Amino acid sequence: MERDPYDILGVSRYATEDEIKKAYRELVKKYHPDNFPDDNMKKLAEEKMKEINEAYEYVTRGATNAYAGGGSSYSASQFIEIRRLINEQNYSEADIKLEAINASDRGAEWNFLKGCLMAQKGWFLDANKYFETACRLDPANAEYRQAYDAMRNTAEAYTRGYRQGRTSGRGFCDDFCTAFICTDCCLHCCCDGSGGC
Amino acid sequence: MFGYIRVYENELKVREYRLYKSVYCGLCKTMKKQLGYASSLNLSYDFVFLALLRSYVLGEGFKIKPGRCFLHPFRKRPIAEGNSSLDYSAGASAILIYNKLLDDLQDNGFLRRGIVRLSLPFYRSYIKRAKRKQPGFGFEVLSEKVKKYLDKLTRLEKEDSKSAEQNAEIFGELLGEIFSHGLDSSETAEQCRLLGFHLGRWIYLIDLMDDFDKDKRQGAYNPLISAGYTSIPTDLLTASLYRENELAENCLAGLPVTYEDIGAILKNILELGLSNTCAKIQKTQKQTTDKAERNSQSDGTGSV
Repeated sequence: MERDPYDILGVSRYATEDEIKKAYRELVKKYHPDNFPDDNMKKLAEEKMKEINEAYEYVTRGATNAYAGGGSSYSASQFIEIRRLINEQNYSEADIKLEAINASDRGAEWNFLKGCLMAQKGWFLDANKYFETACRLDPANAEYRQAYDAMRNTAEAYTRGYRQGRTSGRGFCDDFCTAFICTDCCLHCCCDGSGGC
Repeated sequence: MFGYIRVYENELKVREYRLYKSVYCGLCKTMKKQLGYASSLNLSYDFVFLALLRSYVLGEGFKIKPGRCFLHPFRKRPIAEGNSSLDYSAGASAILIYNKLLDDLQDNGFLRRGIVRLSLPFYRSYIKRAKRKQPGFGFEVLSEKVKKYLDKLTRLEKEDSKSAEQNAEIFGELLGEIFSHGLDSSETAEQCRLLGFHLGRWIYLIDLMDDFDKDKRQGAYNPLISAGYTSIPTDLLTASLYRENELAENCLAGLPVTYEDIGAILKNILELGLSNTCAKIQKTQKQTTDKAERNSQSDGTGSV
């Protein structure tokens, strides 16, 4: 990389992880190739995105510096490439690339990226497993933790909707007993009202 | 694996409920006529859904006539007369069950294998008859496809696959094939395939949830157990179920409206019936675990 990655992201060397992430998100929003209908501009944006992704990768790596299985043979550039694919929503290609990585090289980041793919597909069970592993291997990493929490929140929102039951409140007289009690109450009300019985 | 796709009766109009019941009886009659008398033992609500969906998509209504049957010999009940949707549904059910039994043959206890072996010739004859009576449906092709997916699923189960979602994906694809097979219009076929896909995933996952305790007791294969869960991961599983349910609803909404009553039944099943089934299963499970806890507690204290 010719330019300083911190310059590319527009953050100071002492920025916190949250600041870095925020800056990165804004840049991605700004330079996402889909924002540019013109072909030339799109190409430029793609280059810019690549640069940003590499810088982000570099900076976050420096910040946490806790790659699981450090010193193994894979290069971080593979993950940069996969992150780019995920950003471009090319999920199938990203998955193929992830699966191609040796089992021995599957550290925290691999699990995190795999988790992202699973969460995107709505495979909550699998996403949970991968995020959990990622967070276990690299507990200090805020990015992984955040993604994990976000996935749990989505899952919980879904669950709440389902468990409250779309049918509850509709079928009040669901079983015979409730129906009986209902009628009983009604009768009492009517009878008391009329003063009879 | 069968019988999870039901209506939520409380929210149906009376005429819709009557239609639903009559299609159920109609499917039973059709199975007896097209496949063989005993085939109606495999009658399930899932294939009533398939028949309803087919007729909705094809714009083919049901003619209802009062009639008697073996189980209800004295009072006449409304029964839907046979049509191509019912014929297709009956054939598809025979094909799915036959192939499922073939797979069961490989990994089950001695007694169960014996029963399966005895019943196989019946199913073989059902399929043969279905193929002969309805050559237009392409049941040979469907049978091949179903077999392909079930083989894939069996292979994953043999390898002790730990991903419930992966397995569910394959069952989804299988149901998608059954739902879309033989439909002409590519767009409708695609919608039906997607609907079947999400429903298939839903069925596979709910089946895992339902069978969890039993599988655990018997030491049978269940990807959730293989993945190391000691109790059902209810939250995550429910999230997946809800998602599939919603996507299936979207698919139904994307289909052109033909018969309103049929549409209303289908909508009821997807919107209320599925979540109701899920809630019921969770309720029974909660009761069993509560009971077990109470028992262990009372054992401990000696009171109660």
